[in-house]
Amino acid sequence: MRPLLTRSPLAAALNLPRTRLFRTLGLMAGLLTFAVALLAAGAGLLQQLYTGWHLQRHNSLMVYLPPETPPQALTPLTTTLPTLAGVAEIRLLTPAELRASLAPLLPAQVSASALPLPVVADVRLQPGAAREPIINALRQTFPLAELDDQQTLLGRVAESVRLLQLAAAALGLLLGGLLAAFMALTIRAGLLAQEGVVRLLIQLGATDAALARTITWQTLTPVALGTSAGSAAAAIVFAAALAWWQPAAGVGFGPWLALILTPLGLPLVAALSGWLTSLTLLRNS
Amino acid sequence: MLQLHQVGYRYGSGQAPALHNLTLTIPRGSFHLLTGPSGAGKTTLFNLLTLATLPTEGTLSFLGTDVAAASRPERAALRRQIGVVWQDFRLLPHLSVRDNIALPLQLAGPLKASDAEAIDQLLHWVGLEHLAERPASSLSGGEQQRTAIARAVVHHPTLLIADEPTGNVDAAMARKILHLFTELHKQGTTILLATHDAALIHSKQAPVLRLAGGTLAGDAA
Repeated sequence: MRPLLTRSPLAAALNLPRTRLFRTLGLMAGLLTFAVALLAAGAGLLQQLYTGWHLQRHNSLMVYLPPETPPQALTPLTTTLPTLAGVAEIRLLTPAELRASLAPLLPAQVSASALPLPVVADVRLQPGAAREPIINALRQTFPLAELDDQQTLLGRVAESVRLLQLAAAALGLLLGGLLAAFMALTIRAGLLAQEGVVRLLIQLGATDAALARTITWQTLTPVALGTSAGSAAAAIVFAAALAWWQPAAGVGFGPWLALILTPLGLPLVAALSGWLTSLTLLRNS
Repeated sequence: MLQLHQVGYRYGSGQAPALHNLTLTIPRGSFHLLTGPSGAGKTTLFNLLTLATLPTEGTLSFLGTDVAAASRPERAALRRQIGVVWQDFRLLPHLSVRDNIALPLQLAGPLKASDAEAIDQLLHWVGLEHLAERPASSLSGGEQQRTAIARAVVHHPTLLIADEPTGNVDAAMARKILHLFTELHKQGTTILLATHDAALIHSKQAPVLRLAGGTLAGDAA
């Protein structure tokens, strides 16, 4: 007695991957995964860079004093002000640092060294320090000083970062929707091509749930392969981009986790779309 | 077992009915022949009796269940009680003869050791044991018909419906098939056999359902 050849009769009977459109499903899933993974990694990297930058800026106050400020007027910067609660460090910017920061802002024919340089102090705060008393003390000590607590810049950059991340998320959702629509189209085409087989299986007693399960499973196989290949390609491209760019702050786990975990949502979207499409088509058949 | 009460069927709302006012009872354990000229509604009735379609008028009950009122899983379970031999066989060409025959058993649940043995016996009975592993697409018309018959009876259906089951086989195999149907009938299977074969109708001592113009024209022994 010979064993039966086929363990899963529905899978063998349907064999949807034979349909031409199914061959493009893996490629489509791969391309979408590649795009979604890079988007997620980019958004993660942006978040990490922004957080670092924000922390740095948030804990800093810049004090701009006129160029003619006498040196003795600067004494509080090294005596009383560093002892204020919440102040971590006060550092005067060197003329070289000032010229370097001014140079890009000046016309080519104007030299930064020819200009009278202001006195700029970088007041570093301890994390969580109350800013108001420190600002008041600085204003009392230096009534002519311009104080930049960077809140406007922080607000604008935060807004821009959120906008970029929202755009990335929206694009990611759009790509997920595209995959769901492509899944639905592929299943529709596959079932149409194998209408006779589906009818026969229904006639032989196959249930809608069993058929939908088989269809979804067969559809998920190329999607899973495409997702794996797309994720791997995105990881390689991301690693190459980091190697070329070499960000000073380094890259933590966040962007890599986003790159690996976000594409996992695509097979879930594909499975849900496949299951619902199959059931709907079977019930309307 | 199978009851049709004033059953009608229209393919479209504006179209003439393919079947109308058809009332029929097929008792459990009976053997009926179904005949009728082309366009009489035989295919439509075949589709209704195999639960492939639902009547647009009247009620169709199988094993005491109103088929139209049954849920889709219930209807699938009812279909598993029916063995069907189609005139065009409807085998899955890329599956082997053995897998085609095993399909109804596998759809009903995990295979048992006795199922594999039953399939071997059936393969031997229809004379296809040497072709068991060949794809169905490589078979001749007669071999496909025998495979289709084996698939229809492998799960011991309560009702066996066959459309011209002897149409593509030689006289000896036709006698063998009729003998199998008679044996199955003796074991309690209800059988409905659609045929144009006048010799078969005359030779088989069974009630004949004659369809004409979309309704039952009368019974004849």
